[in-house]
Amino acid sequence: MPGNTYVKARLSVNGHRHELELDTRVSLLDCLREHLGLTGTKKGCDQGACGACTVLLDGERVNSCLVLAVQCEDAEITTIEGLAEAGRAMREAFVRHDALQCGYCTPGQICSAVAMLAEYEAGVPSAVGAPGLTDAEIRERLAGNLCRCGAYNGILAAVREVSR
Amino acid sequence: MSLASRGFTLASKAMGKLARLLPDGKPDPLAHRRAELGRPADRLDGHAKATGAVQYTADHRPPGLAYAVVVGSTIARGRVTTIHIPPAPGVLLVMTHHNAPAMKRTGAYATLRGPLGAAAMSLPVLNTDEIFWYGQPIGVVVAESLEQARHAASLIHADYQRWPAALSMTGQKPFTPAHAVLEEPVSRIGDTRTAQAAATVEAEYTTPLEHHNAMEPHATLAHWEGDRLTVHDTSQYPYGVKEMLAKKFSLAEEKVRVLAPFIGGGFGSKTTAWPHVSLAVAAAKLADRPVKLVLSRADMFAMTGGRAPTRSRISLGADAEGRLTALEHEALSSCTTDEFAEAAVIASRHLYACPNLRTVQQVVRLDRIQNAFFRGPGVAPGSFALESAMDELAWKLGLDPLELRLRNEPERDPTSGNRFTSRHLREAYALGADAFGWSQRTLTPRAMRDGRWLIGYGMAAAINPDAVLIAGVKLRLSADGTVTIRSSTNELGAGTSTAQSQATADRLGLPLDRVRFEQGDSDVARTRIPGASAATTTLASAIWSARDKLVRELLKLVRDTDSPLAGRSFEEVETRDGGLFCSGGGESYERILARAGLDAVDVEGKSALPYQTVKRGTYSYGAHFCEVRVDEDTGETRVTRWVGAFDGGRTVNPKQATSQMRGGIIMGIGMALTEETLLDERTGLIVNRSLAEYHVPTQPDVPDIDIRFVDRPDPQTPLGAKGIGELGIVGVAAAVANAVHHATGKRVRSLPITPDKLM
Repeated sequence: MPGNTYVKARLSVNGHRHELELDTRVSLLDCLREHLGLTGTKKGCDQGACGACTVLLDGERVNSCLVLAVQCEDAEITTIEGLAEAGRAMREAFVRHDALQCGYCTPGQICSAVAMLAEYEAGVPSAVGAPGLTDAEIRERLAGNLCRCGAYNGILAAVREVSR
Repeated sequence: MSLASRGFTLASKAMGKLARLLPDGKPDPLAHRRAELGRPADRLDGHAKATGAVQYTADHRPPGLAYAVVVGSTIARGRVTTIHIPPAPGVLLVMTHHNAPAMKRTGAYATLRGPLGAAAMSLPVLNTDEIFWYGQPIGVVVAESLEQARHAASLIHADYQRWPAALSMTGQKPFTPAHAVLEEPVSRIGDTRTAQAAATVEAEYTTPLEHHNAMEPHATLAHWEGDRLTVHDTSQYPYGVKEMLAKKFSLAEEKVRVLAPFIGGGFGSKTTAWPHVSLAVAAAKLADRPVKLVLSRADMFAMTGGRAPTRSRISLGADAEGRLTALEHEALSSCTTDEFAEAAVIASRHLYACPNLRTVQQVVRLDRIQNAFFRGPGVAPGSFALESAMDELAWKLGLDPLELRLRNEPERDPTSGNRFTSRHLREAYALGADAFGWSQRTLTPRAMRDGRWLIGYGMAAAINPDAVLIAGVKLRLSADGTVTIRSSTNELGAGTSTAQSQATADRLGLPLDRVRFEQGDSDVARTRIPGASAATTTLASAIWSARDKLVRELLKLVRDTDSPLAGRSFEEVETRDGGLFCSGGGESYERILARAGLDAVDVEGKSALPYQTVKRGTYSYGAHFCEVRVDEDTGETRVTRWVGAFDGGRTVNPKQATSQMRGGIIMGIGMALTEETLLDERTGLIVNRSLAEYHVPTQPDVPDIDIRFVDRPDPQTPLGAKGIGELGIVGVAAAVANAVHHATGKRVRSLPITPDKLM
């Protein structure tokens, strides 16, 4: 019977350092939720297809279900719980524009939107390619975050407002 | 027709006659009030959701928690002969049909036979070696960690004795069900065979198997303490899950508590409890530890049901002026051992005036997992057929499709002959057409083009039955003048808690910040709102009744005091301005409680019997107008503009209602263009069981959606409101198909409208 492999891992999440002994198979998503109790990050598909688990890894958005926790040793991880100041304007805009219904995809949408604006500022290209942060540009850059309730119009309005 | 369906039809006709003898419903004094009601308030739980603070089922981590993973069968029909369970680290137990605790059989909710517990199906999963569908749970692994449970589950496999399975709708014998979820399976007015017509349409329309794919996977967390059972579950119907589990595990109902305050979307997929719910409870019993079972996205396709595929044959006849002379709708959908027939014929019964109208709903039995309620069950796929056929008829008559609909707008319900409680579809047509600029549309297809994009406009009507169901609430008025409403319903994204807080504020004359709405605990009161767009009016009815009881209690407290309310009757007082008032003055709630020396007054309220909706036709209505662009070379279709105008009675919270309608339309765009669960009819395996291969609309697939409301109160319903949660999706696929025809001249009668069908 093959044994499980455990390794010691030091993770930095939302500015707090954690020393953990982890099964090497634990995804960053399951580590956050099941080991650190940071359940604001949601599991929608566990396959990188829905974006509900989006967190920031050294400021860049990733699907945390596709990252192994032990890969994140030297990185700074930011979740919805740690997106305090940077996320405030976005969160308030989401509520004002009713950019959420059931709320399950919302933490991922907000993390993704905050990182997306930073990507745009840094000149990361998209498939749209037209100059300016147009509605088409925002939509394309948020295509990886599904919302089954269909709050897309509100999300667009919220992100547009924050980007100005 | 079978004996059972004859019996059901006779009984429902008798009930309709009886209801006609009863007086109309009491008009709600709040129907015209505009204080909190009608205000576009921000969602009260918005901040908690946006910070990730809301706790959904899978977010709970009680001490001693163990993790469960389900193993599914790899055949569709037969029996398990051997299960091979290799040892694996961390495993606490593997539950199979050999060791699973007995779970009593419970009737399937959708058949509405016997008790109304939430069970999705009656089949005895894991208490038998028999296999009824591909992916049926054959084992549950419980381990110390999720990774260990998943690994152990991946090692398990079974040997089977295979039996022939019925997997395709083609070749099965259709039969008439006893009822189509409380709709009569067959209806007949006049005689369609002898009707005269200047123009006719006869065609078959099909819709595929679809899955809800709420963002939150189904999850159950079960915790036994002796013979007391507490379950966190992603259920739209906590009270029904409580009833089901009590029965399955032979417990008194008061021993079972189901908690589901927040759900990450349901759309009907969480109306009924799928087998994993009982299996998580059984596994927790065996493990003697709290167990959390979260279905994987792939499991959600195999272990929870989807929208049944439908085939509709529609025949329309009209005179030269475009007045319908005959309408026939014969619909076929699938069911299982449990006879859950979706009434795909509903729209055809109630949307258009027609002297000769015949509808038939039939089903075939398949060896698949039970089909599920799915936003607009029956009516969403059925309206694709009817509203496409109406467009085809308009084209044959050379009439504008909106004009054709206006010429057939009925004064009374075409099937029952009853009056409507309210029907403002004409106003919705006018609002929507004006906002869209419908009058600019040419009759001819292929008349608009932008480079390689062909542009088309389409429209369709929407209708959905409005229902007031059953709910109880507990109301507490505290000494500080705040009110807490407790309910066994939950928040699945529709905004129920915000809307009901607004309704409570106006009902009691309080500012919104003095009202709290607590939800999702099965133990509050018997509440049967598993869906059906019924939460707003049903809860409002229960809160209205609680308010009346509170007034009577407060009047008892002031009797024989110096209060200006002393000796006043119930009819003389009003609830407003933070207290009770009559013509001679009044006082605040705080004052009344302070004088009586009470910390709080508790009352209960129950929703009123909704007989007015049996006596009269109660429906919500809408009109969709859309623009599509079709790439002439690739057949790619993009929806580029949308206006939806709706009659949902009075609008309780325009901000939330707008989101709700947009959500329905977006789901309808998916239904129209991309959504299809692909089931291999040779094996029963669902092959596209992931969000990468089952395509729900993404942010760039959705245009700006303009929502308008007629916003006129229904005189018969609580708050004057009508249910709108499902209305938005109805007619959407037809509007897209009609626009695609206008753009390309091609009529697609099978959903989804994928590029291959246009090339």
